[in-house]
Amino acid sequence: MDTAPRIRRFTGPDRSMHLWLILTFMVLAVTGTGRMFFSTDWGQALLALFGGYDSATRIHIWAGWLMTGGFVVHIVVMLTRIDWRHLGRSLFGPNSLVPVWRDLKEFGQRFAWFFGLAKSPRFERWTYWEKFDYWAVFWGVPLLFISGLMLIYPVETSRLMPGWVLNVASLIHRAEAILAVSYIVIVHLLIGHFRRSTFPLNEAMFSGSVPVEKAEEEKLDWMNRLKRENSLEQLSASAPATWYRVLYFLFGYAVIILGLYLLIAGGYYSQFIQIH
Amino acid sequence: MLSMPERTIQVVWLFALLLVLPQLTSAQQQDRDRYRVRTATSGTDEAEAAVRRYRDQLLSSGRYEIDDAAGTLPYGPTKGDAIRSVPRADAHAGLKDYPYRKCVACHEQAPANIHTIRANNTCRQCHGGDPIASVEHYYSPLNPIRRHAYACAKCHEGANASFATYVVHEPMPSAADTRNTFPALFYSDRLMFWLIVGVFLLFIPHSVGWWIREWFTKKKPEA
Repeated sequence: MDTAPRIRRFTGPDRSMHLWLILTFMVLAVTGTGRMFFSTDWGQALLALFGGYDSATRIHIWAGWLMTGGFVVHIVVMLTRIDWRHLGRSLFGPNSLVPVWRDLKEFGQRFAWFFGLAKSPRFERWTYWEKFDYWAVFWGVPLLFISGLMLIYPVETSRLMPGWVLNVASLIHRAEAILAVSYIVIVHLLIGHFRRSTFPLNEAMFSGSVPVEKAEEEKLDWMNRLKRENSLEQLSASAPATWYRVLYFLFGYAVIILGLYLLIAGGYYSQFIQIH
Repeated sequence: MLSMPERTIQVVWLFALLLVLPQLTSAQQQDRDRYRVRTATSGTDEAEAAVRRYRDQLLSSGRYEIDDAAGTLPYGPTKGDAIRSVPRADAHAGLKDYPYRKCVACHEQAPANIHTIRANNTCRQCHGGDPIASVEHYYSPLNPIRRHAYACAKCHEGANASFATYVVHEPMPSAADTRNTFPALFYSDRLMFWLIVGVFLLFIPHSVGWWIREWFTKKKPEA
């Protein structure tokens, strides 16, 4: 077992919520892709995995409710983590996911670093791309939930707003789903896991911890702050057990392969689908 | 170790899920079952079957060929536009070989909609049996004054006039014409298109740049 000192990045509830998100997201992606590609053989094959169109639709709806339920729980948990007595510092401080001006500066500096024109930024607890990933899902889930709810209950929806809004809801639901799946596979999965410093798998969200040395390379300002505040010891963590590593490696690669398959096959079959 | 608030939240959510579970049956599945019962007795399936029988009989006789791509109008386009501008009780009156033609011979894009592709609806099931009146004519079951009751509510129980404003034959959202005919759809499409393009224009170069840059970063030797 690895004996290098480690620091905790994600708590148990964080990892549980992320796992919940992965599972519901993948079920929604596969059933939703089957529905969207209904008029192709590939779509029919995906739907057949879930017992046909009607069954896949029910599972898609169930997974949507479960994802939204997880989202609500997550919001409640986040609200309990806010220090309401020091709201400003809690919302805009270094431990917060709320975007601040520093993120914009670091974005520019990072791009300059790509071309060798500047040093890489010394990141704090949350980098700008981690904040983007978080907020992209944070507004994407309610958008998909609301448009999806309108499509599940079209008659009730048309009592509150004109029926043509369902055409718009259908378009937005499909477009946002395509954006979500494409972004997660191309950016979050491929670049997250397949760059040199993280290959073969970025284990942080599965193990919950990273080696201190790695944290110092990537987030030097955060580590320096923890040392100044003498809180580094509180966040020390042990390496994950080997059996657990094997498990999350298999799971992680299964998700990556499934995501890649949906993206590549979806790209190919998109020429055959008949609705706009 | 979970804190008390976090444990409480998990228990509350599990309880809420148990309450919600019975409500998750899709209204659409109930609608589809209702439609199958209704059309088994209303005679619309008979009308569809009759057209297919005429066409099959004619083609199998070997004495006639139907060229679906050929023009069917006994008049030119200008007169055709004038005729189409007035709602008619029989929108297909005077068309050559009408009883033996498929709807898609002239209405090519009409089947590209969710009701046809997924629910397997045929044209006459909403547009009515022959003679098919223009939608704007008061005989038509799809006239806006009665569409929700005569067409939509056959499957969607409780459909009202607002529900009937849903556009079944949706135009191409990105087409220029759609800006005038269905602006909400057009601008939603543009918004989502530029959102997708914008996100990837930003993050694909970012990801590629990062991936390449890391190859040139010296890896620290293992301790």
